[in-house]
Amino acid sequence: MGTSFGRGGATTFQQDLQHSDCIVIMGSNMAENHPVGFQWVMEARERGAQVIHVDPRFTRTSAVATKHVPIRAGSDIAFLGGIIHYILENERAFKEYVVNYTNASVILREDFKDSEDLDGFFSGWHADTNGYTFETWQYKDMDMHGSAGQREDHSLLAKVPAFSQKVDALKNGEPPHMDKTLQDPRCVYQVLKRHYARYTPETVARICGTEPQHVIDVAEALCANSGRERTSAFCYSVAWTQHTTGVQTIRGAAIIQLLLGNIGRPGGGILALRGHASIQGSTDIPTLFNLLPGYVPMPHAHAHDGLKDFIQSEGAKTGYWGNMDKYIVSLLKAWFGERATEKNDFCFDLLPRISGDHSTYRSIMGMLDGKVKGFFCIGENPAVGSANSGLHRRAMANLEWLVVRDFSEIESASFWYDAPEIETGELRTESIPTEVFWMPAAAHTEKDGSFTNTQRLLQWHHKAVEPQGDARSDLWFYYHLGKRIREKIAQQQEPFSDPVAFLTWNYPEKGETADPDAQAVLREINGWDASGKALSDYNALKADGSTACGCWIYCGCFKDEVNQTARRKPGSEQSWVAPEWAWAWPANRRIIYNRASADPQGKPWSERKKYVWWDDEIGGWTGHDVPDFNKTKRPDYTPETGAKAEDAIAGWHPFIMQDDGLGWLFVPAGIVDGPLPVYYEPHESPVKNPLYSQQANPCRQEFPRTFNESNPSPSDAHGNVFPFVLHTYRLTEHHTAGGMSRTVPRLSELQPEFFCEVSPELAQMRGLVHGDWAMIFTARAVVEARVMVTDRVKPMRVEGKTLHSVGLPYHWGSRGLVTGDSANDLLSITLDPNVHIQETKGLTCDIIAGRRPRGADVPGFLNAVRTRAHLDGRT
Amino acid sequence: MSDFIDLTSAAAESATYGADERDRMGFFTDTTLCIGCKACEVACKEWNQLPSDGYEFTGESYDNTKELSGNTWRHVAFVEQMEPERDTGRWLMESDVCKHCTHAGCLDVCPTGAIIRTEFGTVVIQDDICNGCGYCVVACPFGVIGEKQEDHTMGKCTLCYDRLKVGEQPACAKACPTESIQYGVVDELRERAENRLQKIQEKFASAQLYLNDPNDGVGGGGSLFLLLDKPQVYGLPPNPIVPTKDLPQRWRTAGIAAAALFGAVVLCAVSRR
Amino acid sequence: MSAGYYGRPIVKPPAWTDLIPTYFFAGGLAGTAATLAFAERTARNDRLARTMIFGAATGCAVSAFCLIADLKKPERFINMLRVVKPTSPMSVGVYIFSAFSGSVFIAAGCEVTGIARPAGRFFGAIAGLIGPVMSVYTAVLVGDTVMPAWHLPRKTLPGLFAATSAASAGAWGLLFASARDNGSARRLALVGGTAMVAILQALHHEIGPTQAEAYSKGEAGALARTARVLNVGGIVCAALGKNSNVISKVAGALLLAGGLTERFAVYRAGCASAKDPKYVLDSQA
Repeated sequence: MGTSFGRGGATTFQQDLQHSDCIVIMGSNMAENHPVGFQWVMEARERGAQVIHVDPRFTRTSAVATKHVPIRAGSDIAFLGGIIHYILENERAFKEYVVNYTNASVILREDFKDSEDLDGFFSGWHADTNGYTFETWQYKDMDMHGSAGQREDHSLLAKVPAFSQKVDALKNGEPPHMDKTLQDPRCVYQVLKRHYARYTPETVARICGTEPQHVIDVAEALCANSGRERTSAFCYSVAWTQHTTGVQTIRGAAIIQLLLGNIGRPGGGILALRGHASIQGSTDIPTLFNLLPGYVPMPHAHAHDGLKDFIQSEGAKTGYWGNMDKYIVSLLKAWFGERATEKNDFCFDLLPRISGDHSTYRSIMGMLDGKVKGFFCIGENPAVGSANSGLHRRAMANLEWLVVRDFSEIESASFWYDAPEIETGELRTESIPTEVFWMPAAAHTEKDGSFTNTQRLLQWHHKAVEPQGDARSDLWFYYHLGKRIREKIAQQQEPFSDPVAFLTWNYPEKGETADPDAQAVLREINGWDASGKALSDYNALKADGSTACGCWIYCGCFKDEVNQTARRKPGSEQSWVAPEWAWAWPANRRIIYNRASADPQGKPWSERKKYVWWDDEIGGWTGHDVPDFNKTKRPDYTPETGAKAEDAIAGWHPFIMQDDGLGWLFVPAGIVDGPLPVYYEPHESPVKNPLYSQQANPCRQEFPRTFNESNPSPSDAHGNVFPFVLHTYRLTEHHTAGGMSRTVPRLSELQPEFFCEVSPELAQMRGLVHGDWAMIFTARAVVEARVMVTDRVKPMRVEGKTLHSVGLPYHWGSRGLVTGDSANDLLSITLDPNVHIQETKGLTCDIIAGRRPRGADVPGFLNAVRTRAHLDGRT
Repeated sequence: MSDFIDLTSAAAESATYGADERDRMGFFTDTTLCIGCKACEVACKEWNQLPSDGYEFTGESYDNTKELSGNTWRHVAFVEQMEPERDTGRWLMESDVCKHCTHAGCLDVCPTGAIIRTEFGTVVIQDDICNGCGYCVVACPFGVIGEKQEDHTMGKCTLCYDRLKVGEQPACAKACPTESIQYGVVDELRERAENRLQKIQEKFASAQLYLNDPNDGVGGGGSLFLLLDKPQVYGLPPNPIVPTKDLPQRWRTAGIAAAALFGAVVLCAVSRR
Repeated sequence: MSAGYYGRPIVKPPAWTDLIPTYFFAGGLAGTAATLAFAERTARNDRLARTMIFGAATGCAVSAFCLIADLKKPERFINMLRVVKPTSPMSVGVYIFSAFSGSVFIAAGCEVTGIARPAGRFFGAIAGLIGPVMSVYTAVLVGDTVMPAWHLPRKTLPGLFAATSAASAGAWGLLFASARDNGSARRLALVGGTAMVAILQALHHEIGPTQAEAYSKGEAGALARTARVLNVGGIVCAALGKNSNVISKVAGALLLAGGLTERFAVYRAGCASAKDPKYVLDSQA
């Protein structure tokens, strides 16, 4: 989404779904995993909207949708491609929107070669490094700068195969070459048309295991419900992201929504549904290795010398990223206060540096290799919840220390004495060196703080009760840990202690436990001006050190010294947009890019879909929401040549974060695995890629090693050893790895046992009995589950072959009121190259009736399986 | 036409509250809006502090709590009905609850007065009075009431009497994200249910209202339902009748039998060999 | 596919224990025994009257134990007496039982101790008059439930309970009075036993073949068949054993066992008709 539109957040908010005329839920079991937000989908359905659920399983979402389309797990890009094909072939795009608001008319370089030309590769492929260089993907005669995604100079990271070379230095903001008639064969629109020419309903149906008519029906429903008078929305969640092609799948939806003119408009958009409370918040103020707050990149050890160089290479000349200097300097001021001065580059040198991929899974490999010695495990339970959780347990058993903060002693804290590997004898308690510190954590009802939800909405929660016993808030933990470290290093006066010693670390403490004041932290995130007054929005930020701001996109959440996130004005007392309920970033905008809800002249596209428009009388933008545009920039504003930052964005260009202000149908920079989505099979698939001889995403990130072996796919020898598609998922009744639900009787009784969902056909084929046991295995692990034979699972016809699937909810582990094997033990760690997210939604397995081997028999069983797949001796 | 015993009907008993009598409150559970999230079950157990009923995998679709019981006062039923081609189908979900009948069998037969009709017209078991005789269990046409194993009294939905008292709505209705469970004045809910049925009949040909008729065997429910299939598909009795409906006749028949017995004994005694 | 919702019960089977059918047996016996005692007392057959009032007292003692022990909270038995509820056969029954058993215990106490005989007679008369109601009200109690097997035999169930009580009371007399004194008891046993067998047939007929399966299949059916053998045997012995103390006692034992077994058969039939939803569905079709 970031690469297509400019920001990595959902473009709309859940309440807005009620205004949709058609909602496609794909890659998400929204009713089950986002039941509260799903009320707005139901509201839309009640108002007459079509609700289409495209999913391998018939779930609780399908049950209330107006149409369910079953497709094979992992074939989403093909299905979306079929819709794009339909739109392009039948000229159903929203022309005026496409021509003005997207890069459809932009002319590409002559030397760009499409994946259709190169059998699954784009130009710029380097087989030696398993990666692309991006020059040929650029606009003709200029170089774009991705506003999100891969901006780093990763040429120095050649050992990480998926990373590619950096985008070249930027030119000034002159407009690209365009053909507004969309006829030029090198324009994006025509490139797109050729790229998708083969994604006919018949071909797509063959790949996806569905009927051609389903493809046509969904495409037609979208087309019929898009345009001036109508809008359609997409909802997705982790069943799109958790693929080796996750980013490209979302790109597919972005292309559809741009072609149909559904971005920035009420009832339109793409809603990324996040899997936890505050997952959005955890990328805004990130727990990611490569980002600073507000999506500012983390400086690189070798690529960035100083602040100026960093801004030069990471900022943009045009678009809102042209203000990078203001964001980073204000951040540094917030963190280092008086210590940060113009003279010392505002302490830029004190920021940590990255030197490569330090993502979760890479760190796990580091643990296994003995390079990573310590681990803070907070708000997660990797011993159950991460892909190839067995490998995680082995990794954690190879640490010096491990800190686990949770409500109870979860599997990640107890693995050293009760992991399955202890039972099999592969790990022995007495030889595990890891010192485990399990610290009880306070629940959200026991602490003040904010959640940033799926729609970028910051909502404050107040402490209701004091935490029990030794339980403390996360804020307390980090604050007091920091305080103690600072006390220790205060005596040392060593330069290496400066990054910690120089930090501003003085929040007011409250109560007996000296809990830091969370509001004070939020106020720092919001920022203040030279006089110490809270800032009201990010336009006030300065690069001269006079403003401090902990996260520029959150600037305004403490406007007027009021905690805006704690606002709870009832919906009945305000408009349906409810701008006075909590606070959304950026600048309390609920639908972003909402300039696009008006036509190029600034008038609403239609009365029915009126949202934000230009008002000549007041000389500004107005409407139901905060305009996502310079408030007084006229719709006919044309930038002068050489204009900088937001001044370079024309009055009719709604995507203000992009260098060119346009929605990107074609992404010239920012994605490592191609400017357009290409259909690849999942990393493990029982089917040969029907479209290209390139089987799977060539850029995917693999970690070939013992215990992370890959099941062979058909083009490999013995590709038939694991004949069934496996996918994992969640149930309403449990919370992810179960740490918060398997300990609660009222939740545990609702889904007490690990089960597998199979079709009656597969049950018959493998002799599986409803309610009995089955064991499911991959090259990594074997687990056992109760059998649920259900008509809701349907075998697919793919490429003329019947394909069966096994569905596994992954909530169980060795502890709690209800226990069971963990489905995640089965997975391999193989990642999307852009965001390093694991593939959990489409891999292969085998299933047989009966209970799995026990104890020391497990390794023997798995060795036999690997031998059959000819995986022994190699990885 | 009613041959109900009117002593304990919603209207008759509520009226005994005099000035404290309130509108009769109830539920309208619209299964066309249910997404089977079970938030109602959990919210109910949280508010009423009810323990789990055990951890057993039933394989009955996604239903593992099986039925209403002494400790499960909301229960979501799951019924899978896939079409033969299996691309589409129905997965019926229905959140079941005590019906708070106009003529409530449990209330009628309770020998201790533990079961009362509240000022809201709802039916509540006072667990400090219940002696666990279990008569209510077998007098409920819906199988709602069960024994609470931990304290051996009988349990069922109270329509969150404690919440109603302070002007709050029941926990389940509050937690329901899709307004499948609607709480309100029963008369208004009946009207709403009728309108809803009218509105959706075209889309859901099999839709039907359940317990909205004051002339049915329990005098209509305080809990109404909009179903998408026959009641029995959800485990509900198709034509429930309060057992006390023919109690007077039963006494008459019993009287005759007793008289006959008396006569027989006397005859046996007087007819000397 | 099983009927209804995964074949689960639509109505809940009783949460009661086997003390309840035991109570039906003992209470039924006690009621009719008291009436026979009263009738014999009036007919001046004091020996049989004495046997029967002891039978009634024994029945009452067993009944009281069963009733209270079956309560999940026996210490709250007293709550039964805080209201009078005409809509609840159990509430009505508690007062019937209290009045009846109180009278029986006084009468029996006077009989044993020989104190205040007129008072004993008076209460014996009261008990004798209440007795038939005591014997039959439990049919109303179980009929006023939603167990199809109990609810549907509106006409025949009270008769069955009356007949079973008569047979059991008669059997008590056969067992504990001498052949010399037990004429009335024998006749009562014969009438009651025969009526029990006959009314059971009528009951099957009243509720129809589908519902009757609750009585004829499974555990209830097995118990019913056992009861039949016992009862028929008891009737035959009672008819033949006029002059034999031994055969009379055998007849009494068989009929007592038959009556108890029949009570359990009826009880199990009620449970079975709840456990399989087909009975509820059939009755409401």
